[in-house]
Amino acid sequence: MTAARPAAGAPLLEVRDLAMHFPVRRGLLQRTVGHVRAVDGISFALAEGETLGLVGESGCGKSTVGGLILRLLEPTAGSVLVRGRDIAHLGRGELKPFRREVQMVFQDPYASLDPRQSAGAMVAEPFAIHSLAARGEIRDQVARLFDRVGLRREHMQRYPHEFSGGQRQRLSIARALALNPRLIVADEPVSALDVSIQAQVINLMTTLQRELGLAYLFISHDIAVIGHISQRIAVMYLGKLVEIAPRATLLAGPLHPYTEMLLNAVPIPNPRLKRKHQRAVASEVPSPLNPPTGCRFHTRCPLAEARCRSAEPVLREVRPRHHVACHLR
Amino acid sequence: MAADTVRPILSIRDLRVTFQGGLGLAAAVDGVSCELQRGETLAVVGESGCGKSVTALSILRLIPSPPGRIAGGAIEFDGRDLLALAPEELYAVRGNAISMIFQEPMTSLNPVLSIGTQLTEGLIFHKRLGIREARERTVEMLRLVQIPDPEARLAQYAHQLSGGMRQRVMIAMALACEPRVLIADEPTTALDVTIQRQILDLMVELKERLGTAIILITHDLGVVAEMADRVAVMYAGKIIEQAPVDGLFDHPRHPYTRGLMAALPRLDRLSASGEEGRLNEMPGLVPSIYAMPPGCAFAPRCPFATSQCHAEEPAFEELSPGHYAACWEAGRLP
Repeated sequence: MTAARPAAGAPLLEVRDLAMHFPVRRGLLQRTVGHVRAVDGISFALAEGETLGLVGESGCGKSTVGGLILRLLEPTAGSVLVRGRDIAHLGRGELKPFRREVQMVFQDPYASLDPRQSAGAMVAEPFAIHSLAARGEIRDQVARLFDRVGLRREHMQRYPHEFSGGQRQRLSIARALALNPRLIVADEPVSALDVSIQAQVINLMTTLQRELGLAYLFISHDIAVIGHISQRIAVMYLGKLVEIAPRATLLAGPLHPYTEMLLNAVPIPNPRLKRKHQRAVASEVPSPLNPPTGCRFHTRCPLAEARCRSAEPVLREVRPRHHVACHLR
Repeated sequence: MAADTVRPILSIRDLRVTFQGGLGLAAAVDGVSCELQRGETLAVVGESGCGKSVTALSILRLIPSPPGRIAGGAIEFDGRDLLALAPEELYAVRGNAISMIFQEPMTSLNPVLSIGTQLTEGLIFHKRLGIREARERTVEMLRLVQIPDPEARLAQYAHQLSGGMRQRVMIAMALACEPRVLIADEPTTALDVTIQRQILDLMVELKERLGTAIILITHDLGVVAEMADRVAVMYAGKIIEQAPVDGLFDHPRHPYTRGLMAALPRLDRLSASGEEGRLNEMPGLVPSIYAMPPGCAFAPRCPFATSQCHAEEPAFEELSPGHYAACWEAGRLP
């Protein structure tokens, strides 16, 4: 399978044939009765300073991809290359330098912040762990990070519960930035926030990218947010990448029937665009425990043919930089 | 909506709901008035804590008390004030003439009762149907909401269904007694977008078929644009703007409504290439209900606020036919 590469330059991150199968255990002896194929052989690359949006619905495996890239999970197969070095199977100690380059921001900052640690101490911790600054300098560094993410310096004394949702997300961004990473994996970073606060955090992330040259893997179910922030968009369905293309190409001319379904499903805030209401046909997402044969989308696809049920389509470049996994395109 | 619908089916007048919290007594809903016409969909939109769900829960008096209390106002349905009904009279309305669906179906489906038992209950209680008739009607309802193999579902339990299916079951349950008013509180927020699409289409279809009037509580302006005939925008416990849906999106009059719309990332307005511009940011936060500012509650975040806005509460005025806003500066906004 060809890796869907970014436009130019050596990739900061490259994922090759990545797979994660979680065993399902049942019964008294906890015998493995099957595997949830959360991620099932995906490949893509991400350039310095780029934002790749990874979009898909619950259970498609997008968060697992994030976890694998961060090495919070060890993959069943495949490799994760950071500047050409495979980190997929490194031991704990060997991972430390990699952690400086790749950092993370999650959906619920409250769950990822220690409630008993002050905001300042939390942002200072990475400096100490990686022995990056002398004790006297750490405070200054932390203060500068607070400025950078739009928190006030007096907030350093506060605890997570004293912050609003948006401020907590700023705080997790400050902590992620402490080690001066090149890539931030952001998993649903604005999904829990109200619209007006969501806009603040998205703008902050865009500004930081411009100022620091950060790359983002931006994981979200919200295709409007993904469309706003990404330069390229990758669409996942049941553990597979079904389409990957530059943003404008994908949004204006989706090639995979699932991408099209996803885009058509988004309610548009313009009442004059009265869409014709379709008769509501119920269709369900199949279980990743037992994904359909052939193309995994064929059970819901309006265009499915006989070959879609038997042969699995391969992700291929059908137009420059536009990759799709569909027999019909 | 049609002009000949003289009397609204439901009207809320000056509703005030207070909560007793650790910081004292606070009003989560503070003087809300609105009307629902027959067969119309009214969307109530706003961000977390604006009071939209509390308003919805008040209609059927579902506010947990204590700490909550409906402290004032009237909710008139069918010539009667729901807030003044005796408990037995209220039970006869709930799930019958007015029913409600919620964001998380597992909170309203009973995990230890079969789907069939839960769905027939209302028909037996309200419509005095026999068990056999009630089951037949239930199967019909499940078919209407596109549940495959409805007969087999009656024996199943909620945990055996997917999220989208549970939402359909809840809608079937809410519509079983053919209510005249359906209150839907974030009915699709917990669902994936392709499943949301199915449920929204289903609601439109059912509304056309059964003529149910809907109060749709949501934070999603996309859902509002698609579903609503009229919209009420809430901020800090009050309705600050109310208008027909086209008027609201074409020409929002309140700075908060404008700010909200400009803060949205828009798939329909993305630039063809290159970078997107910045999203509009509203500075600051929604005020705590325990520490409401004097004057207009939005004034501390409003780019157009004058000294009058910080001192006096603006009246809710009709600025063009059917379009109301509570803003001192509405007439002077750029």
